[in-house]
Amino acid sequence: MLKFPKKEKPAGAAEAAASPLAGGKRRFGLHSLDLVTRRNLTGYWFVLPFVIGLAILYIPAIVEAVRFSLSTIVMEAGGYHLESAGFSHYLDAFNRDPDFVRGIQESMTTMFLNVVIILLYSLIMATILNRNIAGKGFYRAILFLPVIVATGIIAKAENFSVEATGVAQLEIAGAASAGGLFSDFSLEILLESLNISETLTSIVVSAISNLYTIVTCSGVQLIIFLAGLQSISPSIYESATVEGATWWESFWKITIPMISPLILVNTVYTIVDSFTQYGNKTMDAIYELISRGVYEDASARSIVYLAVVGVLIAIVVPLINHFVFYENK
Amino acid sequence: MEAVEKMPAPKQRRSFKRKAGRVFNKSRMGQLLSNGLCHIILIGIVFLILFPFIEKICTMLLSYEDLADTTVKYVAKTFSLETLVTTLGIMDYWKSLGSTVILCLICSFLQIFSCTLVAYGFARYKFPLRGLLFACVIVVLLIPPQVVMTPLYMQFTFFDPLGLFSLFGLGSIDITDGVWPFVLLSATGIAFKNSLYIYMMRQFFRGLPTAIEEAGMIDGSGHFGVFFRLMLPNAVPMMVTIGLFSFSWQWTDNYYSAIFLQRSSFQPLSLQLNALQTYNQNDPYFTGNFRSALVGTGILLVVAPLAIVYLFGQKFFVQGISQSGIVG
Repeated sequence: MLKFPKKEKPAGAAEAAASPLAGGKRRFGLHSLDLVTRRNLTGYWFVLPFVIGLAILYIPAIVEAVRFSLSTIVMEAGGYHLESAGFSHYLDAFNRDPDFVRGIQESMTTMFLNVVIILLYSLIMATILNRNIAGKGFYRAILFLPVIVATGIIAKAENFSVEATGVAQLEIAGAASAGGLFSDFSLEILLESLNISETLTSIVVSAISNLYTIVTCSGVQLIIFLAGLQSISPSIYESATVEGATWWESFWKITIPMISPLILVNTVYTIVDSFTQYGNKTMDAIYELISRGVYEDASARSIVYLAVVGVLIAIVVPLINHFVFYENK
Repeated sequence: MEAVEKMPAPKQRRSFKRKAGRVFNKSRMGQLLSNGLCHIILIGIVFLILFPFIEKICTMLLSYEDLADTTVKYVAKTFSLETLVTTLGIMDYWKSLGSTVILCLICSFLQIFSCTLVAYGFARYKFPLRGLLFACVIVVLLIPPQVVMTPLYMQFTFFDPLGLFSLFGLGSIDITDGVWPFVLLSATGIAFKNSLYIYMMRQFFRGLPTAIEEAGMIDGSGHFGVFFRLMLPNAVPMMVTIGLFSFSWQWTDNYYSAIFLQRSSFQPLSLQLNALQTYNQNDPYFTGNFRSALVGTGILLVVAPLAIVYLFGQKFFVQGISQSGIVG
């Protein structure tokens, strides 16, 4: 901790330092605090932009979202006013809309598969990229490319493009796509005939048929894992090798514990990403409601959805945190 | 055991020698094999990532007749730039490119600045309520942008921060028609994924030694002097990294642009690409294949400038990430 006067307020600092010596009366306000506290209060100046944003934009927006979901918006010349509608929008989402609950279930399943597959993929790829192989720079540049390009509108337009050609291709030459379908199907049968559990089969099949999506969705996770791997000191591995540990052993006993905090970070990131990305059924439905101008229903649904995500994260984080190894603990 | 004991000494030595040699070779072979395996996997994934682009470039070069011809795939019978020219025209490319560059530069610079500042505050000062505020940063990251999108739009349409404008008799003003919503969100660090940048930057600053700060203080710098003269120069790779993130995510952003710029004459590329998908929907000239080729070319045109920026920023990017010490 720093324990010397600040330059910024020399007069105040000098007075504060002088007053106990002079036996003067006790000062109140900022000057009555000790130096460390006053230094720490400077921190508010740094976080001020965020606090302003939170206070004037974000928190009102969230409060407004909750209010929208409980009312009917009536547009008028100088603005809009809200008429109370109770919980009807929430009830509609659950009782009237046939797709909402199913959409959430589907999002959950996709999310679960995504988390497992993306974490595995990015961990394996990070381990490979961390090796000293020729053309390392080139591979890294290409593998991080999806973080930059496969986002937002590009991902959406890519889907559109695939759909448009997909329909055309089906019309023209069904053979090729039927072949693709067949190979997926036979893999599933093969795995099931080997008495492998259905969950595992579905994970493997969805991993293979969605390989492109997985590769493009796991850029950030890959970067985070790679950064983590690079921050592990090589001397730990060296001493393990001297003690006779094989590569496999040091992977499980050094690498995994050392990057376990990042497994937590990546899990949370993947959950959030999977819930908000394009192609997510619930998100698309909410977005469609917004573009139709049905803000009340959209808000109600987003809040329910947010609550689901929140509960899920509140369950998952402590669960994983239990297994995380913290060096400084 | 007996057999070993009975073996003549020289032979045993030779076999031992041979065995050692084999072990050496085996480990080298293993090294080569596993490296080869890594190369195969990596090349496969590189191909997977690059293939859509190669495919789109090939499709872009096909003529209108080739697109309708089922016997043509990837390699054109007659090369033509018709698709490219049509796409450039529909997207109003050069004007939109200009708008996008301006918008992205404004946003990414503001975001770099605000996120670095906020992150430094969180990393280095233990002010009261710090935990609560940082929890807010994380919560903002978790809330899908769609939840707050509508209320934010309403707020910007009737912009009146904390009722201050009404207080001075100005009434609310509509600022949705332009870059102001983006400026406000970026400057206050609550724009798209800004919490992630704040988190990354905070981890980076936590890893820097406090000695730098103390030295600066002794030499007579204030808190902001230390931040601008000592901390920022150290954080350049990290700032380039988050700058690259914010630049490219703003570049491809569809949600915020679609909502805040829908009525504006200021049309970024992402919106033009969106419009391309429904342009002249009932015109029989725009067949499924042709439209798909147009959208593919549109994607290429949107990505190309970004890819160039990435090539220059890439070195910093990897360096910045590995310096970040996200492990904390």
